[in-house]
Amino acid sequence: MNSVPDERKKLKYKLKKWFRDLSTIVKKDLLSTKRVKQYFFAGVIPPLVMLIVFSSFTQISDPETYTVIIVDDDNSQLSEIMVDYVANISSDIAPWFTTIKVSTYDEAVVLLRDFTYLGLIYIPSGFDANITSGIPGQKGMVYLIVQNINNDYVKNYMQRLDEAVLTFNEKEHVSVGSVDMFAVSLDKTYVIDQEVNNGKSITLGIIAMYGIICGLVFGALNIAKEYEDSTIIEIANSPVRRTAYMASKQLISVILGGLVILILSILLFLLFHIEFRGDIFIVIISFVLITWIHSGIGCLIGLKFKRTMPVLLICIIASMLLWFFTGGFAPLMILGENIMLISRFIPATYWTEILIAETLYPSLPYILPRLGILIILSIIITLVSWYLISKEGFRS
Amino acid sequence: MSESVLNNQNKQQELIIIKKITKEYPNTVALEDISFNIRKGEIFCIIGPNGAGKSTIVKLLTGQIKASKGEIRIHEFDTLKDRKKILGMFGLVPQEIALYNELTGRENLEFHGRLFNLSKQFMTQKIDELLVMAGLIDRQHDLVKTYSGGMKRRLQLIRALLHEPEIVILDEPTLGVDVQSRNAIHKYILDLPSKGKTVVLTTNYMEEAERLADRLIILDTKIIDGPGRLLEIQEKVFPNLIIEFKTERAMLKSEFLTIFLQDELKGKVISEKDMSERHVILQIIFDTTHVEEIFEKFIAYTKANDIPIEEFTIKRPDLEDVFIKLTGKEFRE
Repeated sequence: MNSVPDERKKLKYKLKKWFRDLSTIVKKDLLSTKRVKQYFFAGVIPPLVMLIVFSSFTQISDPETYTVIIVDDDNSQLSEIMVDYVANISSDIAPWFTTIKVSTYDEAVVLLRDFTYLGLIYIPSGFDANITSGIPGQKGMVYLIVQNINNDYVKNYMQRLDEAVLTFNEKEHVSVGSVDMFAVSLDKTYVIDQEVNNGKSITLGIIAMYGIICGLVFGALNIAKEYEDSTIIEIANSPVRRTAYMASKQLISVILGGLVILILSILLFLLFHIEFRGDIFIVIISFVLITWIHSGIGCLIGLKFKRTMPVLLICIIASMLLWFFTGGFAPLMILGENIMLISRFIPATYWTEILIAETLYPSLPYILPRLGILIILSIIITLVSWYLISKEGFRS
Repeated sequence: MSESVLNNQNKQQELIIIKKITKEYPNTVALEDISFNIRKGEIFCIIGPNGAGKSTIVKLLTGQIKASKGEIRIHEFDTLKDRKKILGMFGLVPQEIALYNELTGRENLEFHGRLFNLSKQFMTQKIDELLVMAGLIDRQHDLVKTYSGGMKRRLQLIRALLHEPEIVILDEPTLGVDVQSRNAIHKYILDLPSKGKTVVLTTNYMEEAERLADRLIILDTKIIDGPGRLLEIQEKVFPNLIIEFKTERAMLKSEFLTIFLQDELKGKVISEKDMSERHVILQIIFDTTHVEEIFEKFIAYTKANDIPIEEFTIKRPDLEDVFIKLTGKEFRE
């Protein structure tokens, strides 16, 4: 009859012990880290160097290829001429811009929100009718919605588009009675209505990458150091729960990673005047998730290789690869469909997308599914890594 | 007391049972068909050269690795299947220095205590007591990285005792420490059985085993000899006795003494060392282990013949000699 309360007591005891193990190891690791000053410099200096190098590099880099969507709802003779104008300026004057035709406005908006394309040129129905109505002030409208990747090339493109509309008005002018009318107007909408620093997107990339590195490196090094110093023997011969040990190492990675990113963000603001936009809560949650996931992988790397130098090298190479497959080096859309497909299986893709969206284009319907995927992936990776450590233990 | 009653008592005292253990790694056999028991309250020593499999036994005993064949039980618990139950029963002093260098001595002990779920009050009291015992109380708040090798070894030893284990497993605990620290560590180890602890000690220092072991095995992948008392093993391997004494050179000239030693006692002079113009030291080996018989006859003869005898000692071959005889190789190969 007493078995149920007994079971509850046992479970309560086990949980209490689990959390005690966790907090004991976390406290010990924090104390050790606090006393070794070089950990701090090792954490902050590399991303700062990376930031300066990459920012300088992007200033002189060649433009990437951008694609603009065109939706022609009017499907009239005049709207087709207009489409030809905008398509031509893309291909002749700025060859790095291409256009793609999409049949409906709704479909185009979805693509735009997915950051698949740079912008949308929309010619609504009634374009022809408005131009030819003869009513003063009635104009055919061309709408342009542009993502805020507004570097110099995009700005140049906007000017060219203005010129294309002017040319259309001059060459394809409509005479109403004896009066020639400038009949088309261009309406521009920026997703973000302020200028964005050129270095901002690359900075976000570095923060995204550093989230990955922090998780992998801190997780792996923490465990490899225990092997190198033989202190793993103390852990292996104590009644500490293996999962609590693993969780403590992951938690340490999140805390240290968070600290590094915080310091980095403050330095970015002070040195480069880069402000953070978007929902800080979502960014923190997704950062915790991505560091947690990667620290789980890092811990397994540490358990496997057991020495700090090989572990560090493996983690840095793995981070670079992950960064590549998540669009860190170049937008995924120009890397090809295969890489885009691979990227969908990499957790860091969703972290990068959330980070960029939160800063550039905050939209809950876009962000929440990605956050959900990150939560699912973190549960899966945690279960797998905890299972492996429970099975393998700390055997040398 | 009958033999069966004695056997029964020994069985009851057997705390650790190692049964037909083999440990194989790819391309190498670390241990081959090892069986022995360790009794409650004894200092049991596993002695062997580097690579003999001593640390492998420690890893098997503590459930860190799985044997290829055989089983190990502590009380009735299998060290692998019931590992959670045996973890609190032993305290391990590993061969390596396994301390957190960035923590102080006290913090290292507190960390261990928390892992073993000790209450704060008990832990504080016990840590104070152990730090005093190890002579580290004055250095308790210093970082471990500032400690000498001997201090680290002593700290490891008291850490293993903190959770009051029944068994203390010491894997080469004095490796690379100075004589002073080694003596201090030996003193703690010798004191452990009086506190109800059973000690399992591995070493490749012969003098350490000679000084500490109640019983021992000589290991070189297989059990070369033992388990048994050192004396038993020595008598079995070298059933000889050496006596050494200082006497007057004039006594040898008469040849009475040498005739007596060789013919009556069946001894053989193995060395004759001049000490001065008048004195000489003789070493005689006997093919017997009956010390009393030899001693009585020798003393009676020298007294009856007024032969002056000084610095009389009885010697046995040491463990190193035993090892060389058993394995045919030098110990530290």
